[in-house]
Amino acid sequence: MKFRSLGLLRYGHFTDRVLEFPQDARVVVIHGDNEAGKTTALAAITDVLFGIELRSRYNFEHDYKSMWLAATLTGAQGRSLSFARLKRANATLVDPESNAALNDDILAPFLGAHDRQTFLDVFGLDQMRLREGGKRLLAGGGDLAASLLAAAPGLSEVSTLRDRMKESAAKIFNPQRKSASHDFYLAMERRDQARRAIRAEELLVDAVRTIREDADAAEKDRAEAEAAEREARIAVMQAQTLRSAAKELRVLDALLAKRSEIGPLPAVPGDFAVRAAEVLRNHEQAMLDAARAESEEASARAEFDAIAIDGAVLGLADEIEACDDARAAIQHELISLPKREGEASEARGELIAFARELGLPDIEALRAMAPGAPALARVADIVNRLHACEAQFQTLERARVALARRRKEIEADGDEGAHAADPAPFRQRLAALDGAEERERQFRVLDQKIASAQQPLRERVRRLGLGLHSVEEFLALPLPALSAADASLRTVRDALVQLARRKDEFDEIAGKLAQAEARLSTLIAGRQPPTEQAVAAARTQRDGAWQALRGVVLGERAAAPADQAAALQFERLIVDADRLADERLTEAARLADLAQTELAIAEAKARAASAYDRLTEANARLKAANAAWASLWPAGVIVPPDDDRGLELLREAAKIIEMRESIRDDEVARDSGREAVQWDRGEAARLRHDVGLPPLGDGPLRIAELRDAVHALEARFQAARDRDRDLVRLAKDEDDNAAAMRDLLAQREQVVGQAAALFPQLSIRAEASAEEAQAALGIWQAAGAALGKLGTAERRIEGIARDRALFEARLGDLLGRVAAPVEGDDFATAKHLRARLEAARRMQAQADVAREKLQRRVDALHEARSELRLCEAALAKVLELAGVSDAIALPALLERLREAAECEQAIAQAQSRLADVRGSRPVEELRAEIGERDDKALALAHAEAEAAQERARDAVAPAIERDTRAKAALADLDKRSGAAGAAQSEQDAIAEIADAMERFIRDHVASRLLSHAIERYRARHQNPIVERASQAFATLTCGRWSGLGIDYDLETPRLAAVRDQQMHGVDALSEGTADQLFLALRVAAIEDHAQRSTPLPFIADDLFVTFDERRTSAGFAVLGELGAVTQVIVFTHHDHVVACAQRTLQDQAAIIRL
Amino acid sequence: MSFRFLHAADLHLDSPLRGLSRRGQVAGAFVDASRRALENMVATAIGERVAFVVIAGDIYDGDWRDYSTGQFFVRQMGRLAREGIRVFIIRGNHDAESVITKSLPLPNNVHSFSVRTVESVAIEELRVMLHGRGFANRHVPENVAASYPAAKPRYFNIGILHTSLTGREDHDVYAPCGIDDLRRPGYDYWALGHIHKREIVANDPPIVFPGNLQARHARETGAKGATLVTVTDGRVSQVDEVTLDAARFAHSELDLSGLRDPQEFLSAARRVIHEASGEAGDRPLALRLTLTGETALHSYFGAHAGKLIEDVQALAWEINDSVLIEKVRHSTSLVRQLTGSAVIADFAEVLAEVAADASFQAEIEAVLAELRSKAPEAAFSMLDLSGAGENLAPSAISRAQDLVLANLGGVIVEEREP
Repeated sequence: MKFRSLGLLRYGHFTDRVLEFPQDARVVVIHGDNEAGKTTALAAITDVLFGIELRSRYNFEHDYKSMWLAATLTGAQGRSLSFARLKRANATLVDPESNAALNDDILAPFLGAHDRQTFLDVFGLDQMRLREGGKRLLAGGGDLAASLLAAAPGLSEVSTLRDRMKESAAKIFNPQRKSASHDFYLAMERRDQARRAIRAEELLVDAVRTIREDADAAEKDRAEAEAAEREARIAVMQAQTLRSAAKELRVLDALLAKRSEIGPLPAVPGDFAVRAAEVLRNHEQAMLDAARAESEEASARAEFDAIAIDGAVLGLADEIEACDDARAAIQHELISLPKREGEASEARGELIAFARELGLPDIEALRAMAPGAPALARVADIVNRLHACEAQFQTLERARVALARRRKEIEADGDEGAHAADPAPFRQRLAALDGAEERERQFRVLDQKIASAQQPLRERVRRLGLGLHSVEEFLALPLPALSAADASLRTVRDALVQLARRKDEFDEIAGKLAQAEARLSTLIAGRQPPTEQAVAAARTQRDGAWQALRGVVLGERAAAPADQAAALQFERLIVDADRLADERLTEAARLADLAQTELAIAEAKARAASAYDRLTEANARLKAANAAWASLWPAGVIVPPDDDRGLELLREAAKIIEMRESIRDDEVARDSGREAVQWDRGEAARLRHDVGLPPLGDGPLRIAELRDAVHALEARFQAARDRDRDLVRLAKDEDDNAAAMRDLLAQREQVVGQAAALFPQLSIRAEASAEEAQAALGIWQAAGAALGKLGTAERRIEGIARDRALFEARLGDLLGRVAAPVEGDDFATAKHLRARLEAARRMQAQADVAREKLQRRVDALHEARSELRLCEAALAKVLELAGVSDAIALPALLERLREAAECEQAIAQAQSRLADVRGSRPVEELRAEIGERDDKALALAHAEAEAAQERARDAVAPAIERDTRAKAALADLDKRSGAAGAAQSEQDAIAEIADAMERFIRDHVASRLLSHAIERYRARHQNPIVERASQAFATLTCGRWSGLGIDYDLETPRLAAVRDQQMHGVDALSEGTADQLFLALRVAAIEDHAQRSTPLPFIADDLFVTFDERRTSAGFAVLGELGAVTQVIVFTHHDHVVACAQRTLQDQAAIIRL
Repeated sequence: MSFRFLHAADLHLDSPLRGLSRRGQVAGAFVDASRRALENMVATAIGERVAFVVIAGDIYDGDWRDYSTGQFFVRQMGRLAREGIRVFIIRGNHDAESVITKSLPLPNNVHSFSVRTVESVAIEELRVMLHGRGFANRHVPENVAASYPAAKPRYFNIGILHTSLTGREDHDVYAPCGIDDLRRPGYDYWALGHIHKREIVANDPPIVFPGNLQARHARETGAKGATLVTVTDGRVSQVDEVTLDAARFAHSELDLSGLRDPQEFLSAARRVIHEASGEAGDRPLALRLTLTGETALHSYFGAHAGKLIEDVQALAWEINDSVLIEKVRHSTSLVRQLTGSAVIADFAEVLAEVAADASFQAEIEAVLAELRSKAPEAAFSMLDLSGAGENLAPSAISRAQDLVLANLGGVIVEEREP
């Protein structure tokens, strides 16, 4: 609904004032100064539509009864209504022409369901109502608020996931901030540690070289020190040698002098003195030994001669001993005789019992018939064979019964089964169907996939918005390449940017021009300064008046009556001309400013003209770019907008082509698989028929059924083969059993015949059974043992009697031979004879000992005498060597010889020591080197050498220590494991870094992807009012804010302003920006409402109070957009607002001045 | 006459194993692996009573300057010296720049071939002639095989060369040559080095890459070692692979198609880990698991990636405390759901739009560039962003998209009913 006119006929201070609203204006601005009636007019709009209020404030000039408003409205479908509104209780609506009352409902088609309050709340806004409504909306009240905030439900899980990913990524890495606790940096630190460890642990070549050089130097130093110490040691040894040699030389010289004092001696061997003394001692000892041996020999001989020997007894010693042994044995046997007799009696009793059991009369008969071991063995063998035959018979019989039972079972099984054919051909045919189900499944999946992909493909083609109706049509289209489109779009964007820049430039110049013009208006406002022409005109008039009076004043003519008036005129003209000149002088500065401003305006106009040309040029370029963009697209399609949507469309087109290619690939695969599937199905159907399965129909292949059926045929075929095989085996077993039975019976008959021949010989019945024969055999075996026992006992009794007789005969013979008397019985006599023998043996032993002793004494005597002779001969030789005739002179000679020998030995020892001391050096050289030096001098030299050696030795130890250390260091190189472990740690840390990077990339990218997707999803599903409000808000804030959004991160989602992708609550906005947000929401809501029903005019009362200049312009731009939907009427008392409306909307803005 | 010799190459002593972030004590078992492998080689040479040992280059890592490594090598060569076993070595591309190589005095039993020309060394008692040449440069682009002399008649001739032949994946081109170049001199055996995967390139004559002695990262899977060659009457009668590695890398793929329950997954994982552990024997094992297949567990894995690794590692230690799970890669896909409540029906579409948004990609690229600028390049190269090249953002965004979809599997319906 729109107002065409509003008649303020009698309302407030208005009388017969009619406001005409141009219908083609997007925004009508009603401008009035204070008290011009702006508020009155605003109230009149409400009153004319909904009736003048009962207690209207606007009755101050026209009373209630005369209050009169009128309006002409245009409704939907161009319907028009003119009416007048009166202030009365009823029939307030009247026809303006006829004053006839109109029905109160006549406005309903224009007002819809709106009443005064909703009109004021929704359409009639001043700043206060705008704010109140906006705040109420933000507080969550009302259906509108609920619907605004209800966008994109179900995202909570997605948001939770996004937060989880974000949190996880934040623990790993943060591009903006380094933190030691991040997994990435922890791993980096571990890597750094490992690298430090490598540097610390690695063994560098230079280090090795240094250690080696140290070792070489130390070894060299050590060798030198050791050599020096060795030389010092040699010097010490030499000094020591001289010192010792001097001492030994002195001793040697003394000994040589002593030897010469002993004088000459006979030439005797070196050991003569010793040997001669020994010979003397031996001779004396030999004489003593010979005397003692003679005495001992005589004593031994007397002792031997005193012993007597019993030769008669000793001569029969063996026989006497044998006789006594026989005596002892017989005595022992006689003790066991009663026991042997008892054994014989017991055996006889047993044998009588056995004879009775065998049916024999007595023991002799039994003994006569007793079989030997071979006979018993034969009988035992026959008995065993009889037993074996019986056992084998039982076994064969049981086997025969079992085989018969098995035959019955198999034959019974055979009756149940029918003949089964070999299913191998079926199996082969089934094998050929391997994978058939999978092939068919793939075929169907492909078919289904292709079918299901067609519709989305068509849908995507349709959504491209190119006005295409089929995929083929799309595919045939020569769409531009993405790169070409991108390039074209860049040209369009550049042109847009250029245009915007030119427009800004033009606007800026135009603004300056307006400012200059405004300044000019100010400068020329009020009284006009006298112009040059006015001053000149006044002066001309003055000069003209002077010329008229000049003749009178100069006396050129006489005064005339009119000259008085002319003089008065001249006087006034002089005053005026002077006044004008003065005024012009006074206004010079202002005039200069004015001139300057005029000049500036002229320049600005020139610049504006130039800018306008550039703007026009930019417009042309944009049009050309737009045309180029349009030319990219094939004829007949709806050219997409020349922005990112166009690129998106091409990307989508590429995806569609890709999708189509994929479908075509699938179609090729499906077509190639169709033949195989058809063959499979045909073969499966034939095989099902052959194996007796029901027809396949159109259902799935059910290869498992075929497989089961073939398996069943195989099982049946296998069972039949097994049964035939079992029967063959059974027949063979039966034949084997029968043959074995026959063999057994023949064998048993043979054994029975042998038994009949042998059994009677052992008093057994010929037809006796195996058990009976076994029992008889047992009796015979026991009888054999008893017969043996009886024979043994009888033989022992006879032996005892025989042994006694033999003993008595032997004893008698012995007694006769030794002539010994009988002492008691035979046994006592034998014992006595034995005692005599033992006594004779003891005497014989004593005589043997004495003889041996005597022999030893005789031998000792011979030996002593022989030794004495040897000593005497040796002594004679010694005397001969010594050159003395008597042994008495020999000891003195020997003493001198001993002293000379000792002296010579000491000389030799001294020479030996000297040789030890001097080594290989000649004695004379030593003597020469010693020279005149005494021991003290030599000792001093020795001490000096030792001191030098000590110094050398002191130098050796550090050298050795250093060498040892160096060698140890060298050896330690071999023990070092190096930095391999640390290198592995570094590599492990790198793996950890890679792991952290991978996790970060995964989680970060996922969280960012989710954030963007959530945002985009919400934007897509956002309430259209919010979306429109967002756009309007961005416009109203001149792009300072990118729009509106819903902050879903809060516990209760709230509307928020968006800047730099950050949400800001309304509370955080400035007052003006908040007002702009509220206005944006209100505009969006009305536009939304307009889609459902006819809206009422939007009445705004000084809404732009908190808007700056630019945002006021933006506000008019938004209201201009709203004006396309509904009538927009703006009341203001600000001139700049009016100017702004005109500037922004130009001819789309209508200005009504009150 | 018969004798045996051992052919090894690419020891890379003390080269750390890559990709093992510390996860418990078992990681420590990998530290000395290259040394233990060399010890195994020496023990095998002694145990098999080989006549000599050939090492065809890359004993050390080029940028490794720890002299202890060289000393360890010398000690091991000393063990061979005490057994009277000679060693013939050439310098490979890594040895060429090694400061250790240049400074280390070698024991008398070790002969290092000249780096200036091809040198021929005879072992008269065996009638063996070895021809070899080391290299003094990290890069050798020319075909040096052509400069090897003709075989010496009535000798068993062995050529030793560090080469990439005509090129092998994952290896720099080095002293390139063809098989015909190697056949031309008429040698009886070519002992090659440089390629870490064992390969018998030809049989007549045998041209053999023994592979490296010890695997160094997850792409070098399976048994590693040397080649034991038996020569009888002047001809190669047997070529045997000898396993000498002290730690093992393995990569198992686990198809989870149709699985729905995490317990089912753990059972399947147990089986795979058990198999891999069994193949590794008593060595420490670093196992990479790649999960594949269309499974309802896809979302579960996506949402519990960290727990998944912990669970699989715990499972591995339950089976064998020497098994380290090096990585679990997710290559599963979601079972497509055609029905369900479309709580957020087109969120996946929105995700795809954002993922394709150039400004978003630029934002991510900026963050990743910042991360990359702070991280060592070695770590960056380990990232599992296949095909990412210089621009990580598309790959990272694609994976993040999958992750989000996996996590929201219960919320988002993949495909809407048409």
